[in-house]
Amino acid sequence: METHVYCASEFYRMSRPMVSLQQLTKVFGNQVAVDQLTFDVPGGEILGFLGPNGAGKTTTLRMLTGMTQPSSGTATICGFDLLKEPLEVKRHIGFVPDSGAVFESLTGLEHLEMVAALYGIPEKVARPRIEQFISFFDLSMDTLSSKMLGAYSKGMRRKVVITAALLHNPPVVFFDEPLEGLDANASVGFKALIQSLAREGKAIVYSSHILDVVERVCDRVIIIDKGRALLDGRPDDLVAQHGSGTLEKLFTSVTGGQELEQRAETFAKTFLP
Amino acid sequence: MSAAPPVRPEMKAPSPEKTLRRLFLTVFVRGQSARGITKQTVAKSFTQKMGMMFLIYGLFGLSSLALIRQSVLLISVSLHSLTFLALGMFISASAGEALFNKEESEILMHRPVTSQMLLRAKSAVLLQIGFSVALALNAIGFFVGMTANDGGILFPLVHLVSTAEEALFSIGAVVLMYQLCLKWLGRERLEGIMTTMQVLLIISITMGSQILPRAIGHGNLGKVSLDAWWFKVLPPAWFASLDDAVAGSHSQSSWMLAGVGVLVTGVILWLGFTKLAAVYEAGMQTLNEAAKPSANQTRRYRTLKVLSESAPLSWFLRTPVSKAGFQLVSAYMFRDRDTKLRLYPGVAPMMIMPIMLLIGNQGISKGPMDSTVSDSLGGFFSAMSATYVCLVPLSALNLLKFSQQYRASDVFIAAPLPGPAPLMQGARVAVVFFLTLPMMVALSIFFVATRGISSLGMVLSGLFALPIYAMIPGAFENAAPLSNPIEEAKSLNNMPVMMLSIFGSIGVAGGATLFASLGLLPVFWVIEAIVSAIACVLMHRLTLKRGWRTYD
Repeated sequence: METHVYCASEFYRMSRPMVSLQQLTKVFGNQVAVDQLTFDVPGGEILGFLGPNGAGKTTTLRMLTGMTQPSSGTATICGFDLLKEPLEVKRHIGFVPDSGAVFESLTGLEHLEMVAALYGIPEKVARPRIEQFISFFDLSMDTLSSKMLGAYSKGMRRKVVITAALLHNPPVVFFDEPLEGLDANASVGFKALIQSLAREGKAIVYSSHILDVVERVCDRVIIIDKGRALLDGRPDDLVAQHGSGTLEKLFTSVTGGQELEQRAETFAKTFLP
Repeated sequence: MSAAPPVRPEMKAPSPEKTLRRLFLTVFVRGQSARGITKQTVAKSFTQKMGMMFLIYGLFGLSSLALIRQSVLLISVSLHSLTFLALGMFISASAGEALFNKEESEILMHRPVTSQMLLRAKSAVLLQIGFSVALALNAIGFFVGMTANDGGILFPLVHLVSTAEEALFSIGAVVLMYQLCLKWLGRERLEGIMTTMQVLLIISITMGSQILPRAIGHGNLGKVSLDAWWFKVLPPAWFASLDDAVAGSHSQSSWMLAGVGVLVTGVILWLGFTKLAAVYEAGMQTLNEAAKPSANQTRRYRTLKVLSESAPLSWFLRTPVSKAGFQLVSAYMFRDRDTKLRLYPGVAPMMIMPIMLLIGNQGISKGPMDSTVSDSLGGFFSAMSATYVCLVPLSALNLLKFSQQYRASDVFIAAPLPGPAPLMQGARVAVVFFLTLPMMVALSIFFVATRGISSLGMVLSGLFALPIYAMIPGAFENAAPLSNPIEEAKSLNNMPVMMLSIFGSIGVAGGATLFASLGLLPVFWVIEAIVSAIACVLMHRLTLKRGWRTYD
């Protein structure tokens, strides 16, 4: 059995983009969900991938993780072509999907050991890694080994999903709304974790609606709407360029959300339960 | 965090395929979701579940005792027909959910596993369970085969091989059928294809398993002929021929038919697991593509709303909650993949059995027996076919209790409702209106066309019993629609109620036949209507007393 250990810093030192999208497009029927998206993510960078609901963020992440077939265009992960070498791509990525799906009838430990085995990590190596994450996330080994995942709280389940994405030490990690369900302490810990992962040279794509977190954590943001990239740059630079003060204001101004405050006020006045 | 421990080459991890097989077996046994269970309780429930399953299938296998001292071919044909029915039902009911599970694709599709690995691992688990079912069913048959009048010493060994071949054939055929449909009809139609395929499979398996024993029964028992053309095209005959070739007559035609079985099984497995395996990946990816509701679906939902607010349905849906229950359940019956995959294959045997009973009835009335006896038997089967349709609402409501989205039913509990009674009323009306009444109408047309207008009397005796069966799920258990995890659907809790209901329908059919033979059928209708009305009132009270089910 071949085992895989990745040294993300090698890719970083080579300063080649670890994630590279070329004209990536997805069409559902006659609806264009992602429209010729092109960008690169070098190692060591945390990219905030933002957009309103239905903008195409999740579809893009699903294409990059091999869960959905692109309609046209392609992408490379650590130099591996998404369409030609899908298995190599999958070996080099970790993904935390927004659904947070797990096998509910497995215990947390069974789920993590199963994921480790899929990446060729022997149980003897997987167990100490799992224990590291358990202590980092303040989980109890007793709960993890005796309770089925179906009985976990949303936050505990999310911690298991994050652990499952990082267990094989991938050089590229995609996060889709990773903070959902995490309490304040776990969120603070998680933010510190992804920053330390980036310092190790991993490329991180972080999709979220919590814009103040994105502003603090991400080195760069891309805002997309209707499948197209609208803005791409460092958060501070973009905010300064547009004179919007905060990333949140910039986001609402470019995605047509300015009138929402006015609409909310009108709604509150006219809503009769 | 400190650096992760490295992986050294001397350390070995289990292969991904072995890991997947272990995973799917665990998930199959424990169920997809596990609200309120712990690892400690799983082992007990698993042992109980499997023990009960083997016991029930073992009891069905007792029927083979009737074949003691017959020929190897006859014993084997009967055993393989029964096995084919059980395997077909099991695989058809499990394959859609096992092969195309959305949550599972969310967890596994971004991991370094190929779709071929997933397909092989899932099929291996289906084979493992299916083969165990087949062994339980054939447990008695192995010994019965040894008493055969034309050999039989080698029977247990060769029958084990032919049963394994039959299990492989059944799994391969179902997988291949999905792949061919995906290839020819396109992945956009996956959901429709899956439901249609399962319904067609179950109908053909039920019909096939009924036709073969009937064909044998109407012939000369003990003299099954391999020369009949229809015999050669039925898969159970191929596997039975292997038993006959090795442990029975050793005839050339048996060897040839056994060869056909091996060849067809091989081709099916090759096509399903190598040639067309890539098609499976397309199907898995489709699950992750959220489809926009079509204009047809939106129109259909509006139609449901109009229907629930117009007579005659509005007579039965008097409150906004029962109307909402009707609209919700109807929408799930037509739209939700998971619901369709359990509901329609689940009720399909009940749709086909009345027709099989009527076909059998025609055979009996033309048989060489006393005309009074044949008339009575004919009348009984006519009544039985009508009362059998009454089992549809019972079975459908039991299936509609479960949903992959059962957590959404928290919205019912959070609403200011004392219990699920009005929602159950909505579900009941949906099932009777969309499933049972069309079947009753079709059956009536069949009756009139084949036996004249007077035969409708028997349909009427079924119609009077219908409300009782429709009330049972709400009265004796919490059957709030779409509010229970789907793994509970695999439990055998409903088996006693179903068995009692079948006996009840036999009783009603027997009563109708008796009164009809005395020329007093209208009296039976009056008695039946009164009993039905009283039972409905009592069960309605029980339903109203039901509260919400809570989970630990």
